[in-house]
Amino acid sequence: MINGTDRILVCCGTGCIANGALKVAEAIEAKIKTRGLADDVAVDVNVVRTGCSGECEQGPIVRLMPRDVMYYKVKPADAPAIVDSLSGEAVKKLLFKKDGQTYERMEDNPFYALQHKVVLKDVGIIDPLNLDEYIARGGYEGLKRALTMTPDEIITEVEKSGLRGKGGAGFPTGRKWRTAAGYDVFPKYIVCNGDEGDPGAFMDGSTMEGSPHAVIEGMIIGALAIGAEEGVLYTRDEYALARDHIQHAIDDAYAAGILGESILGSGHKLDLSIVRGGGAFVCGESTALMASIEGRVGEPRAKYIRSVQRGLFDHPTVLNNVESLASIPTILREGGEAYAKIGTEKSKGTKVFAMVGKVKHTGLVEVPMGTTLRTLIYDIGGGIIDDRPFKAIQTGCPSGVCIPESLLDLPVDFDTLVKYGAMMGSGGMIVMDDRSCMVEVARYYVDFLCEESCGKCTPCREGLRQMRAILTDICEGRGKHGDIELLERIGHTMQDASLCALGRTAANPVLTTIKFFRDEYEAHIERRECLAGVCAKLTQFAIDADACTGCGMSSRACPAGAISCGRREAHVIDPAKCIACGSCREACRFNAVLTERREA
Amino acid sequence: MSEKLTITIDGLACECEKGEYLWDVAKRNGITIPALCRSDAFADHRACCRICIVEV
Repeated sequence: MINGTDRILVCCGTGCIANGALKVAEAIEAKIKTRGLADDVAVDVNVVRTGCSGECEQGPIVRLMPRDVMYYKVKPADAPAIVDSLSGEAVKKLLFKKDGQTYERMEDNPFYALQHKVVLKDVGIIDPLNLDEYIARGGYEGLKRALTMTPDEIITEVEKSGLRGKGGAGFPTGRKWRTAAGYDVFPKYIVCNGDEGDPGAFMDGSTMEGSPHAVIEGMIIGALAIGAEEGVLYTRDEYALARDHIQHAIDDAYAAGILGESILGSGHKLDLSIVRGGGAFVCGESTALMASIEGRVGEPRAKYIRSVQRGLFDHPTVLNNVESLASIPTILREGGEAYAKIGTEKSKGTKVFAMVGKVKHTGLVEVPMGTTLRTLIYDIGGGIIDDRPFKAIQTGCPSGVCIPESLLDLPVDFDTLVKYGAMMGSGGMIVMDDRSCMVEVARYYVDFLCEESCGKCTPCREGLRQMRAILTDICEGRGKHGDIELLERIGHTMQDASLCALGRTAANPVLTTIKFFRDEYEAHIERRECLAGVCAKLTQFAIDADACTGCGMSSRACPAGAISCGRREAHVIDPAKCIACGSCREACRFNAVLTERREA
Repeated sequence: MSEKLTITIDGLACECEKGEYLWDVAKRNGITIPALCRSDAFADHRACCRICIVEV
């Protein structure tokens, strides 16, 4: 591969580190040292700590290159076997297995086989702290080509690619750049939005962690196109690893003459710096983000004047999402037309999704636009955990939508889902099975947004509070006739009247769950029944004595000590102690825990 | 700010100058539109509380 040596790639994305990947890497390094392999001229082995390789649920992941053997769920104790397998048989027990078949190469694993990596092409392959490795895989080639072009030619190339803002809004990136380039007000700014605050989303964080130079290269090209000499990376404060990697990459780029007074000796100047986000979800909104950079309270403003004209410090500013910027180097290197061949007619290229929830293979996936949700969940994700029935997929959380089974065969792109009252969103995807209560899901997101609403405009501030009160009432059995219609009225007012996108989209989880799962709302209100058996005040639990094997799992899981634990005999739940948390149902492997409507 | 216009609010003909805020014109003609942020103390915070939004 690189330098013609053998490489052992150890995934050190956030998920794998949490599962002990750093210890695995150390163990492998120690093993190589003791065996003297590293000094051997014939077998030169590098242990590389890479960014997220995607299949987080199976981590830590170790991959041998160039032979391409991928090991899953590796423990430090597996290090000797892995080092032995460099020149021998692959370690069987660490390979990916599905339906009795084992898969050695990464591309053979169905999780990876259907993916198409553009943004993530280097993530999980290179050491993110090593500039040379990025360059060896074509890094900064796009920038070199951009330096031979005029700003107009660069923008034309991006327009040809059809790239649209991948933060979820889908605004054409080329058009945004052309507008900003048209203003003769200096200085201009380029800003990268890395304030990914959605619960369950980690696309941008993983990109910044695993391939920071791709984001930087995209920003430099953008700066050349619009004539900016200063750029800001606004990163979410919780992303400590991403911030470290970006800072390291910026320092390397300065040292190599890629950033600074003269980009690669061209005479163009660009300074980049990181601004740490203040922790507010609303700071992902463009004008609130700029206010936050300026040192003011992170609140949005009315956008009568767009930020491409008057943005950061009242100067023309281009703000792009991490994923959009990380697509730019490939577009410049391979040409806009090549990029436009991927995807659908109106949504070009690829989209990264963070797939989590009740799906077998959670993780980071990148697929061409137009891939169906069914492919994402069942072919790539491997289906629902325990093969339970699918209920809904939540996209673009938390101001996203809940999509039911009937829409799973629609292609995922910017426009198609919108026609059916849903949307693609920024890339977070939460898969839910039949044990999710859609009213409770809506209540959860409204509660989150209620905390995160900045409170500047009335529809968002008051609308969310009232929706939260009504939804809590419904979940606790105090729902009234007319509540559904009232929720819809509040939601539509928020969509029409709110100041920024947070408020305008905040009603989405409520409105779409009403649209697609109205029967659940009605069951809560009219019969005081939670069909999914989630809402504690409406549900009681019982154990099916015939199905129960007396294994003791549910008894151990119960936090209230409400389940009797006789050996080898059916358990019994004491209703006086039961807090209806559902832990026993999650723990039981024999479907012996039943839920029923609780009498008022 | 010199061009004179006549607009109709709730069926009432109102004289105003081009560039004026609708809220001010309405108030002068005895029509109260609720708002929190309409104050000259806020240089650029106009129309941000969104209480004054009406359907047309």
